[in-house]
Amino acid sequence: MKSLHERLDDRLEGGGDADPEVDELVILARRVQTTSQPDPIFAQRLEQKVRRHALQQQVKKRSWWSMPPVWMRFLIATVLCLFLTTGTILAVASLRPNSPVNIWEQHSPNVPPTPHWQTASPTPSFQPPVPSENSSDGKRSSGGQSSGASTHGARSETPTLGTSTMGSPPPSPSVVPASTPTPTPTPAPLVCLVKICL
Amino acid sequence: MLPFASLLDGAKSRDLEAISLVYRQFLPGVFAYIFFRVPDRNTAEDLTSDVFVHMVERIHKVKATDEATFAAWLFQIARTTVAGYYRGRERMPVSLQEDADLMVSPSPDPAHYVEDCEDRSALVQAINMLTEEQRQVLIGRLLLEYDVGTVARMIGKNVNAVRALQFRALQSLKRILSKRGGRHEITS
Repeated sequence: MKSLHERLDDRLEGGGDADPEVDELVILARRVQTTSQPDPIFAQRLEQKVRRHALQQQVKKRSWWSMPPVWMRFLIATVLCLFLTTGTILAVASLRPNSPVNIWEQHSPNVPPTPHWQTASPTPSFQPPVPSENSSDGKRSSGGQSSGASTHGARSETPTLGTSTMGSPPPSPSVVPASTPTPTPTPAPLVCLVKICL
Repeated sequence: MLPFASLLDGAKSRDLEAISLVYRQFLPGVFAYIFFRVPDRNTAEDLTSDVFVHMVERIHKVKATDEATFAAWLFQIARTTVAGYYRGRERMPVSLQEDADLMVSPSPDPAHYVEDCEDRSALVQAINMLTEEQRQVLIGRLLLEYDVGTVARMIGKNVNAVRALQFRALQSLKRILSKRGGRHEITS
């Protein structure tokens, strides 16, 4: 013997014999079906609207830049952050005398003279080997002038590091220890990037 | 007839014919679901339109591969749309839309139209008293004309549970409409 649930299911699917216990529910089900039919004109208009919308979406999809504004902003911000971060890191690294960027630059045969600000580095390895006249007078280290101006003035008289490296002489043993591995050739774009950043 | 998986693939790649076929297949069910949840036919049409526009915008992202899962996804959109409508209504002043629906009669016989509206109103109120699962079973079985197995996959229940839900839903409807008496009583 089938349960009421199953008998109702059979009757809804058009099978089974007349069953007064479930037939009332079947009539109600048919009423639910007929009451909620959409208007055919509405259905037709909506179908056209849906197709139009799909077509618009198709056109939109073809243009890669038509990504949502949030994603577009995110992408721009990411690229900007990457650029600024890289620039800052390279700039900071180049200010440190021991940074690989400096070493590459100093040992590069193709790099133009180093700007004089780099000679302000306190590392003795980058100081010119021959002391200047001023330094022999003892004026340079006396501190009689203001530090920035005096340094600048002194530099103009002393042979600059750029001058010493201009002809790309091989690094003196005092500058580069013998155990130091041979530096790789200067990555020109890197140097350019550093200079642009600075 | 094209298997549903191929139809869905076509619709996902925004093939217009495939989208039209999907639309025609699901319109009765989606419309009925919304029709039984909102006060008037015009609102039901507006919300149905929103659901299908939303479907077109998101269909390429849907993970469903079979009809039951896709129906569940679509009814989820319909449910969210109806909920959004009621959230918006809460913030609005009291509307006279239900009365206006009665006032503007598209039928040549106003008396017949009023009777129809009352009839429909009674049925809507009764269906609104069912549980969400019962409503979905009725829509799946009666409007989309799915078999019990498909509806079971759609709502994540087993076949016997769906049969029981269907029986209880119709029984509850009968009871609610009988209580209201008059012409809303079920007669053969």
